[in-house]
Amino acid sequence: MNESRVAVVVLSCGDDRALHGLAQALDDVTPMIEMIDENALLLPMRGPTRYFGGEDKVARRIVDAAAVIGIDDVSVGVGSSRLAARLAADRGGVCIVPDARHRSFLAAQPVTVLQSRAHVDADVVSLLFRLGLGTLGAVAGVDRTTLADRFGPDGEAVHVLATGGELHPVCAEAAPTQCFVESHHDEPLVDTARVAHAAGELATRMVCELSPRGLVACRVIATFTTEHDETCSRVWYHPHGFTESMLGERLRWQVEKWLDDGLTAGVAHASIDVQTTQPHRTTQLGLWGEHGEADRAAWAAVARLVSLVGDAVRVPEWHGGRDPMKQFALVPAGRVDLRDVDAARQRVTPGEVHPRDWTGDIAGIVPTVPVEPCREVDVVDAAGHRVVVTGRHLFSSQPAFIVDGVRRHGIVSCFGPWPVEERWWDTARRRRVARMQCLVDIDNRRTAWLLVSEYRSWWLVGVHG
Amino acid sequence: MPSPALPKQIPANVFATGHVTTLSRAVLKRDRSVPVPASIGHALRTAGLSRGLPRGSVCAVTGVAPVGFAAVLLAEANRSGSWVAWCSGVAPNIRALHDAGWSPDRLVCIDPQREWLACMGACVGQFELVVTQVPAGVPAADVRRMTTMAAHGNGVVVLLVPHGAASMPVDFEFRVERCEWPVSNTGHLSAQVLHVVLGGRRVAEPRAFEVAIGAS
Repeated sequence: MNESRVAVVVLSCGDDRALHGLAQALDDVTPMIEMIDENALLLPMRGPTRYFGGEDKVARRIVDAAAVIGIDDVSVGVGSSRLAARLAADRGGVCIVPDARHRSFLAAQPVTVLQSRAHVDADVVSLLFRLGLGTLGAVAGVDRTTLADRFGPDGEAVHVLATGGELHPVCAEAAPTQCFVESHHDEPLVDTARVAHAAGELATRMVCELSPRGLVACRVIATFTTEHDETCSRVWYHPHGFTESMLGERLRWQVEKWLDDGLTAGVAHASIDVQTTQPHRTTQLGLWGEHGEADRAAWAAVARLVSLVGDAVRVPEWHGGRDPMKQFALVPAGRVDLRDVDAARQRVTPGEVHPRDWTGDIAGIVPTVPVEPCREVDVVDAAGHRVVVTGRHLFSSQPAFIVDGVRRHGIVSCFGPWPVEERWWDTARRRRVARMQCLVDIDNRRTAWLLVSEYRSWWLVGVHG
Repeated sequence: MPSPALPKQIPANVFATGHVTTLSRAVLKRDRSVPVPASIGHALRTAGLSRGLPRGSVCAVTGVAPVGFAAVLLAEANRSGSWVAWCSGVAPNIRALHDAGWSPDRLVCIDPQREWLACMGACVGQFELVVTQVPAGVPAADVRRMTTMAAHGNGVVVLLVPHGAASMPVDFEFRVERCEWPVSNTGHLSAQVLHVVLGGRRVAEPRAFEVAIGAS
């Protein structure tokens, strides 16, 4: 039997509480379950297959274990590599790719799965596609050295994945440790926030120990033990390695869910055992150093903040589109690598077609404060009649007041309406709106609002506050 | 004092030998302040200060458009390499900051929820610039603790005070008195001109100045 057979279990509901429960339930099936994604976990299959008498029986047992704790929408994929198993799981239900069909299964997959399922850089995937390598089979057909010459380490990794290999082998048992950090707490920690903070500090210490060696941890075992020897141990994996904030966020999740179960004592010991490492390309400093003291201090602070408030720590990401309030979105800081300066810059760089010359864009200044969620208001004329935008994109009458709940604000002047038609090619997501800027008198001070008319209703979306 | 004899090989922890001592971080005089746009720098200069916000100071932005002014105030520093922590329940519109000249890759937004003081403790001293709005219900003693932390830190804390809310004594207070809204020939609001009064504990006499957001 192929030693690298693995099963990937994907939850469709995306409920992290359910994922924690499932991981606990599957601890009886096999140890060393890897948490690989927000809604997915991985099981090494070698031991369980022998014990339960076949892969289909293990898969059935996983589905049954999920059903026992009330999870019905679970899919299981079994394959000879992480990528193959993940792609099999994406098909829904139980999908087992036999070892003999492993390569042909992968060869038929589009090259875009490397980005969505294997965290390969989007630029590399895009370039592969434009070079005519549209499937993993086509990529596997190219000589490995050629890819390595053209794309560097990314090309080598792409070739390994496309040919059915693993960047980091799956381990069914604990490997020799590469780095071990731990903390003892004489006064056991009971409060979730304090445990999460201690976990975040451990993650920072781990990164500080590995960094001078030019390494980053890809696979770690995080263990927390209470005074009464209750233990929670999880294996975390990321193909590009963990930064302190990424690992801190995961450990925070682990302890939160564990402490929610109700423990009899406080946490007295925490440890991180680094199992797999790889060279960290992005922290390799140049002659004069690309990262300053301010950068390092900020990264450390972000890691600490993530351990305090988790996903409430967010960084901007360019999303594009015609809505000036949504062109940048905020994404959790724990899920991006802040140390990768190039990736960070790319993350916030507007696309080549910056929507400045579109007729629907706000040509001048945009509101500084978004109203979230946007608030429905009424726009009325001097006679108290509702103002709407006609089919000819004109006001039905001159707007005079905005009624915001029980308050009525006088409109000093208004500009627009400017029609915008978004995603006209997509019947499900198409949107026709009209925008209006207006100067409003509120308690004898003048301010500017941005309103949007959609389905004959007005919504306040932004304020120049 | 005679220096200890030099070892033949450099030990791994050379700082523990006594031959090498760590020095405190050298900071140039011009780096002791955080750069600000020219119009604000001029106002600070006429108030007898350097052309920037001194590190370790606490500023308050009050009046009709605190977020808009904060966006202008910190744009220069953020563009020149400073990290900004925006610790407030309401995050700003990043497109507006981008248009004001910010580098959003050095911006971190934090919704502190009920952990405002802990979040500020993590931010102050680590980020060069911290923007925050004190949530309702936070005791005044906690705010004073935060400002004390800021005074010992190496950055600048900017408090956003919504219109009508009570301010507290700070080093610099930028009060946005009123706004003007020039309109472009396409019928859009092309700019926002803020009429600001600079005051605070470290300003002997209030100074009035104007700042424009967007094209003039």
